[in-house]
Amino acid sequence: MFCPDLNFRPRMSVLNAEQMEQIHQATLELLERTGVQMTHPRGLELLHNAGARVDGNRVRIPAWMVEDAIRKAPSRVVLGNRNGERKVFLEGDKYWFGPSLDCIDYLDPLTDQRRRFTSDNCRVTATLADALPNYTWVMTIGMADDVPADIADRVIAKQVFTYTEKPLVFCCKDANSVRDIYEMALVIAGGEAQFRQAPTIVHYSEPISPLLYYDPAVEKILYCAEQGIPLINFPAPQGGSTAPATLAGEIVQGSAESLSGLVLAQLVRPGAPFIYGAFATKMDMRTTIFSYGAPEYTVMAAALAQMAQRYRLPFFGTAGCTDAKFPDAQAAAEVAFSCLASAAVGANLIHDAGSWLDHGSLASPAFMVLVNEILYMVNQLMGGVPVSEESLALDMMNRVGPGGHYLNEEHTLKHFKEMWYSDLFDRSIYQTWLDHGGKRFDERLRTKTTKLMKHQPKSLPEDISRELESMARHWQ
Amino acid sequence: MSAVYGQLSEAVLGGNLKDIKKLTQMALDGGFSAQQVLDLGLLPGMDEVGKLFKTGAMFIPEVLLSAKTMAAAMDVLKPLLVKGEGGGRGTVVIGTVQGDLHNIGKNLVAMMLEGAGFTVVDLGIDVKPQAFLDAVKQHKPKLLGMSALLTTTMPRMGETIRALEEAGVRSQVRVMVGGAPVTEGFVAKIHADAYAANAGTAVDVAKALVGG
Repeated sequence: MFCPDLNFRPRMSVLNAEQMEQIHQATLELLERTGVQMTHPRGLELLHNAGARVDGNRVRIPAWMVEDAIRKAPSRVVLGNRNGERKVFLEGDKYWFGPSLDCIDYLDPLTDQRRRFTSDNCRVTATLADALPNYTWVMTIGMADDVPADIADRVIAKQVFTYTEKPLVFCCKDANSVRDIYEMALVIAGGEAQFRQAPTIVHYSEPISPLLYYDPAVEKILYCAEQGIPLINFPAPQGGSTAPATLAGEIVQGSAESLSGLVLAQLVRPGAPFIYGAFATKMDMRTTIFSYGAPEYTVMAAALAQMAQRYRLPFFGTAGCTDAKFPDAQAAAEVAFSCLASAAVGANLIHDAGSWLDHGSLASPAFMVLVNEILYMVNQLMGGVPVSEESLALDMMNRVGPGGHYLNEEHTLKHFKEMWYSDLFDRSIYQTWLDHGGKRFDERLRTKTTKLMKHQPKSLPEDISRELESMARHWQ
Repeated sequence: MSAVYGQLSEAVLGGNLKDIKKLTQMALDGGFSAQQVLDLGLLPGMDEVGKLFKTGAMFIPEVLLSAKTMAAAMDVLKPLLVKGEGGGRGTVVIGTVQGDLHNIGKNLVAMMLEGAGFTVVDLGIDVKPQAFLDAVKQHKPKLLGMSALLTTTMPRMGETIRALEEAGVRSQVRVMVGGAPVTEGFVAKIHADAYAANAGTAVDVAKALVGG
């Protein structure tokens, strides 16, 4: 199992214990007093029978039911890769970056042309996600525009299964699609028992803010809980429009929306794997966009991650996306900021890294490469300062003495590679840089991206590929 | 025959400090001359190191380990090499100029030059023009290298060159300068011969100055 060296790790918090307690009480109050709206008959019945006050479509959930669900839910979820190895440990304050989903456009890395995202673009982005080590799990990244909309969700899931071995977090239109994707995962895993041992997929479902469940969302929650498919119930409140404009109010609403799904899932099956969180950001009142670069979303993501740690629930974080239209200086600044903060707060399963340009609409291979590079820096900082007799190196300092140097020391030879070296960020001497063509960042990024796109992911066994093909013929 | 040279080059490239003396001695015992061992075995290995460093495939501590390996082989060869040759590519006198106590860049260049087959006489830091002049007279180097980190100590480079001119020895030695604030333009102004931006290029510049 993955265990970091237990040095002191940089830690960030944005809430103290008193504030967390107040946010918790306010969340319980919102669910108990205001509740959520739901029309799904079985959902309503489950909640009613368990003690919720159901009044027409309005469900008010008493505090004890919410706290009971929090206690029943597993404190950790472990995801496996295509080979059945348990790889991604969602627990405590560990963090794992991955990309995102549902971009409608694709930015060609060679021409900078923007066009509709296709299933072949999904092959490219899945291949890159497979090649780039700082993405430890993947999402589908875009929405295929070249296939019928009704089956597009499964087409891209199949592309991801084919071009990367990493665990998949996916969204889809309804429970029928979840079933099709789950069945593909079962075929790849080799059966239900193997899947349970190391689940390779996580479904991501969304209640609508504020406090509203449409029927397909409820159905997906019920289906995932029944099957033991890890589920993320993840609203996307927008401060100022679909949530209060104040950070605390929006955090409370997002938390209540996510936890109401937890209650339902734990009623279906106590111990159903559940991942908590909300993508709480602001409406930009100058443009009306849902901002993916605002520092406010990062502070709210951090607050919710702290709440997850208080609840001992795995968390779905958000970082590494931007409102910029190209992988440019704005993109890099927004990404570096959000990724470092999310790692430092320990936001578990952190999505959106390197796949949302232009507030969630544009996928870009070059952006994926840029963010992967920034994540090396984040990881380096999160490594903290290992302190030991060897690392303090007092004997050597005494031996070298004032005015000496360490270049020739064996200690240097042994440790110098602990420093991080980039082949993308330039540190060359000016003349050398000029001699090598004076290439600016965009040009180097394009070169590196083009090279990485040639990565050859490990193929699925042929019989499994064939079986996926034949399953695809029955999709509706 | 070439297998022996290849083995020596590999040992230098891989920083095989443990075995290099033994390998060098074996080559000599096998009938190769010290000059052959140096020119066809060790130096090609160091040239490869230089190339790999330039492309980013080797890092400074690894380069220096190769240089150390080279130096260990030279301990075996030096007594056998023709007197006056100094072994390999010739002698370099090097130092940080008067008023400047910055050592590391100059040390790095010295080690890299040594590794490339030069014999280096390091005068250390805070070296007065007269001390450079005395060393040039005494060691008769092919090259004089001066380093300065501060804009306030850079003028000492020009003063040292004037001292060489006044003593009539300027034409006997090629002068290269380096350090963060030093530029090509400055080289022309003080009548030096060449400038290198870093330790890697310093080796190329030095080789070019002594003609290969």
